[in-house]
Amino acid sequence: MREEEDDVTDEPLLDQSMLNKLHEWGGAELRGKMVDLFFENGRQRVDAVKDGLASGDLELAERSAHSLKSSAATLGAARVRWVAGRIEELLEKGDTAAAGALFGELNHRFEEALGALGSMRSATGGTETPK
Amino acid sequence: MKPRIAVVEDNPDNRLLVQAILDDLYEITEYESGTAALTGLAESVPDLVLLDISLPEMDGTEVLRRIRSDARLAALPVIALTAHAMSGDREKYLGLGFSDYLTKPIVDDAVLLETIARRLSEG
Repeated sequence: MREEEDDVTDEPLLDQSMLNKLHEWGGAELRGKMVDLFFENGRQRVDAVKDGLASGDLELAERSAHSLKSSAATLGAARVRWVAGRIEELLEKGDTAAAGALFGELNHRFEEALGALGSMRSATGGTETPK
Repeated sequence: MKPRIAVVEDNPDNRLLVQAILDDLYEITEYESGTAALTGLAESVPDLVLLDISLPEMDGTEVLRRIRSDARLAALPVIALTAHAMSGDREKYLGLGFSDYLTKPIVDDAVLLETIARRLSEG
């Protein structure tokens, strides 16, 4: 539970057990497609969190943080999941300032995860075709 | 014939994952939104619905309310699927009329498969 997770760097950059699960369920193809989807949709969600915070559309910001949390969790991108989940919680409580202050961290952790997933994709040969 | 499951989920990655886990055993129909699901369910009634809570425009609890108030759909097993896991949520969602409640990310496919099988056998 989140109470035990005091710092984002306590989380692994990539939780290999989740990636192994994806492989177990659908082989390299499923895992590759999931990584592709994170590359395609993750950035849109990060941008939507930013846009929602900037325009005062807090429902958009919260829902986008929630979606990003969910996708990151499925891929084992544990730090993105952690920060997105924290932003979602803060927005739920109405603490927009604290949520906004975490946006830079979210962006940073998202880029960090893309780097790690991209390296993994290259290293495993990547059966997926980049769009 | 395989039992039919409607998956209502806006995240394409979660749809893909659920499809990968369930595809061998069930015939899956996917809906990206609550409104699309209600239209689809009215045309073709499945054996079970997996319903995400956090959906744009019409959230999962409203979709459930409409399913439960439609005589043709009211008795359908509907399983809530949510990444919004808070303590007390299970009771809350069961109280709203969901048949069962599962959290995302799916880390144990056996839990998903067993829950679906149990709810289908009760139907």
